[in-house]
Amino acid sequence: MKLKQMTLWQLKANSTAFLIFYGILLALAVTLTIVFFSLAGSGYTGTFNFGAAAIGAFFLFVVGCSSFSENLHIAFANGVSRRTHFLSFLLLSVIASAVTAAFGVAVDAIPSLSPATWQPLFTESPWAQFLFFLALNMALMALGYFIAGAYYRMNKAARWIVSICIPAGLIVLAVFTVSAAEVPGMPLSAFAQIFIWMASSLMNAALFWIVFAALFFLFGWLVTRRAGVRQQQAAA
Amino acid sequence: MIEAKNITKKFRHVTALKRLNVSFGENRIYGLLGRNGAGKSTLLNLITNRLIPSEGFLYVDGMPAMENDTALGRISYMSEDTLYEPSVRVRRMFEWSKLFNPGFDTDYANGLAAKFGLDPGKKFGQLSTGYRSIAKLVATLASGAEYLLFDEPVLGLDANHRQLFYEELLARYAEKPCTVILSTHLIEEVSALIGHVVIIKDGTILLDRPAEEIQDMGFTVSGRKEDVLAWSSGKNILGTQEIGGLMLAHILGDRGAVPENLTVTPLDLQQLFIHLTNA
Repeated sequence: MKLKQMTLWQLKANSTAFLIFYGILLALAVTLTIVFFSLAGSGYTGTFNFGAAAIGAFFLFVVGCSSFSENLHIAFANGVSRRTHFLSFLLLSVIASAVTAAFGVAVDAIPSLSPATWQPLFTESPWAQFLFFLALNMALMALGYFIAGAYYRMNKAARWIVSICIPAGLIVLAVFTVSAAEVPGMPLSAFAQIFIWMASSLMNAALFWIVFAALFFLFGWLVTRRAGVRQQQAAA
Repeated sequence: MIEAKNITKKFRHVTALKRLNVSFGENRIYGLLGRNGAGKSTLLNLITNRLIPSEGFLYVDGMPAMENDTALGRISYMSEDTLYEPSVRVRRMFEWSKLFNPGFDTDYANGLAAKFGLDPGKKFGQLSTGYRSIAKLVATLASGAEYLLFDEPVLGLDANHRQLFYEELLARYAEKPCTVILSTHLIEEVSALIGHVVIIKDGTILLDRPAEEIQDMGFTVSGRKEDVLAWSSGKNILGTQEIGGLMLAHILGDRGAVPENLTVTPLDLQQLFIHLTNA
């Protein structure tokens, strides 16, 4: 099994992007903290929380989206099976999610060095925040990978239909879910209760995102297991 | 040995391969021939796990090839498709090849790149079709794999580069014997290289024989048109070519006694191919 080689390749291929992203976040957090601290000394008032961990989650969604096509082709070009390609992505997502969550939580603590300007985003312990962002990062990476894989497998017509119908369906679902959360007895009220439960604590939310991640990793494997080279895949 | 057993590959509206059985033995050079759409690339993509068969099994040295890193690690496949992103530099591709294949010879790859005039610092997106082919064939030749598969390896290459590729392929084969499968439309160019011919037609194997047996299947006679026509009358003529008053006739079957005014040469593989695949 070429799991080690494929994981190493993914780490090497992504390392520059990760380092640049972490560098930008760190520089912005430090700069903005100094700026807010200076303003507070000049009599201005305001609060500041950078939200680096949350930005990291979106970055990992993009990493997930870009981890299907090129990675699969590199695997094909070097005699690596789909299973190994997928397992290496799974391993990368755990490593990248954990490192990004830890980095994000640490960077988010930088503004607290000037308490006068700091408004904490979460009241839970850094450990709970780390677990939450670890789960969220993995979920978004899994979602990104699945979306990229599904689009890779679809023909042009299916891409158009999915691109229009899925967002429209999600908007309608969100509207009905919000209504159901406010008015008991509505058709989706049981569904809305899941989100009410999820929003009640960071650990509940972490649990939700872990289940979400597991589900989308499974979907990700389903789109990977019979994926072929793009040119011939299009004819299939 | 690579074995394909009862392989069927169906795409949505097309059956590309139909219960195909073929094997590629060790340390031989195979010519995989067929017209456009015959199923050559599909077969190579199936052997290398880039596509999944609808039915049937594939084995590499007795191991199932599907989703098997050990089996797939013994094969290096230069496909017509470029699997590297346009932003990837050739040098980086060599580094990655070395990461995945410990047998990859970087010095040999750099030497070959220099012979072909390929700049390893260039990105795939900056290379012409010919140089993209060269980059891929260099990586395959230097892979150290036991099975080298080439799908249209000389696509976009000029005559000099094609000649250089054939020479380097033979040198690699002589130094480190391996199984080579050459899928190409340039039959005349590879006919001197290949030791075994496999012809695919409409997704099935039409012919699977050693090159020397194919030469025994027929012959080519040449001479004055009237003499050739008179002698070959009633014989199974694959095709003829005329130049001025001279004629070449490609004939299938035993040659028997040939008049002194006619010249006999071995059967032209391309003529046999055209005859078989047109039928």
